Amino acid sequence: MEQQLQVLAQKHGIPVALLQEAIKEERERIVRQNRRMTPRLKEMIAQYADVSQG
Amino acid sequence: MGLQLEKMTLHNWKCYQDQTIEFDLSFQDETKNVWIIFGQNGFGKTSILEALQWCLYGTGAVNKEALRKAFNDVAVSDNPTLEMSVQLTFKRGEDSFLVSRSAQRKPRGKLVTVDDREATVYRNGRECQDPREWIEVLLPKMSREFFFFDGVDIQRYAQQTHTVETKNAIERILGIPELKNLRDDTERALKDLQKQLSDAEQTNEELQRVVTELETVEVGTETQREQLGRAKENLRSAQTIYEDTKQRAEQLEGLREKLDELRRLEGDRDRLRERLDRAEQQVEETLRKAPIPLLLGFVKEVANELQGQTVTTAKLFGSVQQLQKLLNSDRCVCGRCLDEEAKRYIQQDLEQLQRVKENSSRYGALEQDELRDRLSALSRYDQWNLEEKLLDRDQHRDDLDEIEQRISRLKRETHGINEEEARDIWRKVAEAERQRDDYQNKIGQFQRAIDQSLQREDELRRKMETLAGKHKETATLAYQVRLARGLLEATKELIDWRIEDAKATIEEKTSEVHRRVTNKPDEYNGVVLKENYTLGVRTVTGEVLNPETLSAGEKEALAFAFITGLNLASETSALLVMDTPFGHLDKTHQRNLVKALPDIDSQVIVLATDRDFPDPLLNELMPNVAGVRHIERVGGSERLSEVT
Repeated sequence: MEQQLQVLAQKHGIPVALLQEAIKEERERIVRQNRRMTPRLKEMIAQYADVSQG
Repeated sequence: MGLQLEKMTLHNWKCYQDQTIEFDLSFQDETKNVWIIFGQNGFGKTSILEALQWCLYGTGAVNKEALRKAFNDVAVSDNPTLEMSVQLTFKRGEDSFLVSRSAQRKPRGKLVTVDDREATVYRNGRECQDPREWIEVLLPKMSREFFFFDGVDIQRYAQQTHTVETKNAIERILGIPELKNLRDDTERALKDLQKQLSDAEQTNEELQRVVTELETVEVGTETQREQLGRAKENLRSAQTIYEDTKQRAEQLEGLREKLDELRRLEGDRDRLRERLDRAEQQVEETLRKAPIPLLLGFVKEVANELQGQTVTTAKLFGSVQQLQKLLNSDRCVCGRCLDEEAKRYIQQDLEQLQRVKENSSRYGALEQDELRDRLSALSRYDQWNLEEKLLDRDQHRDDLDEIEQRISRLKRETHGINEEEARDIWRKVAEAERQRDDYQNKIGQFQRAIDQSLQREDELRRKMETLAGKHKETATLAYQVRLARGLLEATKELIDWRIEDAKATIEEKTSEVHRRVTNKPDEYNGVVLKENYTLGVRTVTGEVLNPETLSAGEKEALAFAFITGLNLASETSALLVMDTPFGHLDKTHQRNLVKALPDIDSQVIVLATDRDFPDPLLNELMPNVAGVRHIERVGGSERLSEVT
């Protein structure tokens, strides 16, 4: 799995940490009625965009 | 190893009044993953399995009616409002979870209800706010039948088709739903970001428009400033011209009055000259035409003289007589006597008067009177008033001299004055004033235009700053969209990969386990995982058999292999609790399945009868057995058991 994440992150030009963190948060919120994950994802993407552009 | 059960406490649950079953995990020997709880039929094996599920899922696993009967009969007879509870202690890595649920019996007459309370979850000693969510994280309800099952139920996983719930439960174990959620959430995030980017790009267009407009306004402002500068220079010049012209006009205004006076005096002078000429002509004509009148004065003077002489003479005669009388008198008229000196003085005056009397007597009184009368008649002649004319002429001359002097003075004062300029100067002043006012108006217009332009510039700059801020965001947003799209695509591929990978893993592991547990290893060459996770058995000839065609034992072996493979494919394996799984199997299957238990990468708790683990088979498994417990009757009662 981790190896595949590395491959996919590289293929699609995203930080592997973003993919890992997003999956981790989705896993933690899997049972919630209202995950509210979209704003969290945008937040994470913005953070990684800042770091990448930084 | 994933989630493991460390301790289980039952209080008034079915046949257990106060029961604690401990699974010692301290030795951490991963080769010993099997726990066996032996109990004969009816001793309470299934009660343990039900207690597990009720504690975790409440009435979702044990319905109300079954729950109402779950209170320990013995205890209920002593306490109709009995409370019962189950506590489970799990360990996963370094984390410890305590799940607890209780219920109270509520008899109302003949009717008995149950107050089934919500579960509580403590993680590492701290109560969790969302116990249901935490339970779902630990052991998802929908997948519970993959963790807690009996030997008969397990067969249904060897069906030709799976329900959606089963499919979802399988995917839940494989960690697919969170990936699908991530895909859906990322898709929404991407849409949001694309919308923001689109808005930002529109903002960029607006920014470009604002920049262009600002440049235009700035150029216009600069032009207006230049025009204003020129207008101010022109105004200064116009003001100077105006002031100079006005000053000149005011100067001319003062001189103009003098010029007017000069012109008036010149007119007067001309008229006086005419009058003087006339007066002189009259005098000349008078003098030429009338010599007598010229003598008239003389005649008058002579007549007057004569008159005067007559009077004087009369006075003299009177005085002589009076003096003679005085000298001849003895006394003075005042009563005083004249002395000699006074008489001598009077004598002298008398002698003087005698001499005058003698002179006057030469002309003779008659002739003098006649002459006087004739001269008086002549003096009454109607004369030509020459004197008046002379006076009039002299007056004209004097007036003329005065005017000439004033004219001369005014001419000196108004020397060099251009009459035309004097007349035109105020027109020039008005022209200069109008020119100055024009420039002032233009300056006002330019200034207002510049103020408006500056105001517009300010507005545009502020707008530009705002938009420029968004412009920066655009680049960031574009990158965020790229990241979101990358994340989405990666997630989609990850889901496909994960499903395929999990299927391959499940297929591989299931096939491995199935080859070991099947009683027909020579005929079956593995398991095929079809769409929706349904199973097929591949024969050595390559044919895929429908699991419906298999015997019950074969189905259970296939299902066991599948659950094992599923557990191995899962990243977060959980405990398996099996209720009498092997007793009804043929010996080959039974043996093979039991021997396959150590291959499961999970804690395995087997609720077994003696038939499930015949001694030779148990002995064979013992190296992998972590503990063995036995369920005993308490006091020979069917209603009370205990685990030892």
